[in-house]
Amino acid sequence: MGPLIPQGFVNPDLNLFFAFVIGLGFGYVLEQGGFSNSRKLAGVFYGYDFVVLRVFFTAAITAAIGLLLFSYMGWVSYDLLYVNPTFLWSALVGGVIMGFGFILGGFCPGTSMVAAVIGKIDAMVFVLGLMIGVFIFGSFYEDFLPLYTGENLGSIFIFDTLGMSRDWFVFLLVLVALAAFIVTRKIEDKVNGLESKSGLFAPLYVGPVLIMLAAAIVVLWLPESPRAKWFEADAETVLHEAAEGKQFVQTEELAYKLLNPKENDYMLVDVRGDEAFAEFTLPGAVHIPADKVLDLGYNKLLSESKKPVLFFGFSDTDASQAWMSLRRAGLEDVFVLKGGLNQFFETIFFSENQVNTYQEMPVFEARFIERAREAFQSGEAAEKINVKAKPVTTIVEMEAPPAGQGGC
Amino acid sequence: MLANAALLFVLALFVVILIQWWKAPAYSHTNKDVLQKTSNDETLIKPQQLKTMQLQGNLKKYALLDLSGSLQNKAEFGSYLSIPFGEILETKNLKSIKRSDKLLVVAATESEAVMAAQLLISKGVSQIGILAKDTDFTDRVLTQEMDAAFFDAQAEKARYDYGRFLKNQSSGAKKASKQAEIPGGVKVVAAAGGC
Repeated sequence: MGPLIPQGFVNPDLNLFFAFVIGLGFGYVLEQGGFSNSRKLAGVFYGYDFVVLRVFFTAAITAAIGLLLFSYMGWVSYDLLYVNPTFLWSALVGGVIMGFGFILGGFCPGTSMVAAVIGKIDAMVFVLGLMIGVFIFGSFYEDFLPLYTGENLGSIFIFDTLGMSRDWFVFLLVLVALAAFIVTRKIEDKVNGLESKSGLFAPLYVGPVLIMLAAAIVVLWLPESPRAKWFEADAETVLHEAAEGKQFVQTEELAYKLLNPKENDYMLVDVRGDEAFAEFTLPGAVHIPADKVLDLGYNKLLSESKKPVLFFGFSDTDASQAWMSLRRAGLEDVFVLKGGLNQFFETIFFSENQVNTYQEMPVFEARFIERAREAFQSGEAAEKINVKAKPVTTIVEMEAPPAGQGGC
Repeated sequence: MLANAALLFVLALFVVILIQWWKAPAYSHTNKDVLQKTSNDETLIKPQQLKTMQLQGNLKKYALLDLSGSLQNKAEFGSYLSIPFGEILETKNLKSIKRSDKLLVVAATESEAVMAAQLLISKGVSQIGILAKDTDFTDRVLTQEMDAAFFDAQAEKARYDYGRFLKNQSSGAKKASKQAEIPGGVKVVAAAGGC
């Protein structure tokens, strides 16, 4: 399902609108959490209030666990998520500047906006300083550029750098976060001259802590994605259908439907290679190579097709392969052209149609084949069909932004 | 209240995972992995490759799964299993198939062999090769001399000049792989991150 914009659930034109709505929500939560108070924010440096550390640790482990679980369920496509590249020097220098500004002004950029909005003068001064900083950076951008884009490490992950698996990293992050919650609470009590409560946690936190731990263990235990999804068809059902040949559509049926477009309810899918498709394909067909039918964009196109899908190739081998993959994926209205294009042409253009019988059906069939041959050869069929395939609008091409965009 | 909502959400997520685990059919590999494996060039054993294996005496290392039951040259293979296509997933058959380290599949049609291979891989059979075309052709490859030109001619390809017979076919066809523009929309998303 997600990410929502690349998969076509959200129109890219509404990007800023959603950013605005999410921004309002984020600001509200920050304000309600007390993050508009610079004393509270600066408390993390003096040891009397570690709520900032706890909130950001909670956000990090919730997002990490949530992302992995959503990815496992197939609700988020992990591969489509954009990862900011790491520019080492700008991260180091920027980190120092931000830390200095934080302890001096008592805000970070986001919280300063929240506090300014509720009318705090110190925050307004902070935002003014922030704007001056942005102006100076913009004015001397070319001079800052070597530092800004220096030591580009690419879109790296910390677990790769540490040489551990992603799941173990998240598990350890949860343990570190929980340990930090305990230790910071004890430090707070000591600095504030309060008597530490017995036990590691206040009873109120036992439930959430246990759930976080359980979620971390589940993440560690789960594979990257399930071997089968709940909506998939079981192997025995698929085998039964394949053995009975239920997937096959005969040449004559397709020929009839090509000649009578109003009755053609198939979405024709050519599963051959690029070159073969460029040379020839059936009228109105779309091109999806057999080994790509499960790829995100193509799969979405096929599963959302309102028409039954008919795969065809040179023979029926690749088409059957595509059929089996989609059938297992839970699609029911998928079919294969029996014998593929070779058999189609063999039957229509090279079969002997002399019928030495007075029975109706063979005579009708022979007449139909002859009529179809004429229609296909004269171009009448193609003229009648003249169907434009539906454009694929569900996947938006992702492109990395120029160096250094994004960030807090 | 927010904490309770969060707890409920996490619990709901666990329930969904449990339902997924309970309802999902039993497969050993993901659908994508299976498709990737059967699409791999190494999985389809071409006639020339089969002949070379025979000449080098390597076929004895393989068990042959014959879905048509009509192969004549069974003795060329290390072991021979004849199981109808519709019965390959029966427990006793699957067990005997899984006993073979290296398996080659042949059937009355190549598409049947490919589908059988897909199902067997998805059920955990690891080393599997699909013999090109059908049982009769496999017999022919095994009995005749190496004939590269003949073998190449049997590869899956267009047997006719399609465009010559079916005229003006290109009028309606459009490549789905080409990304179409969203009407009035932005095609490329520059996905900048940030908080």
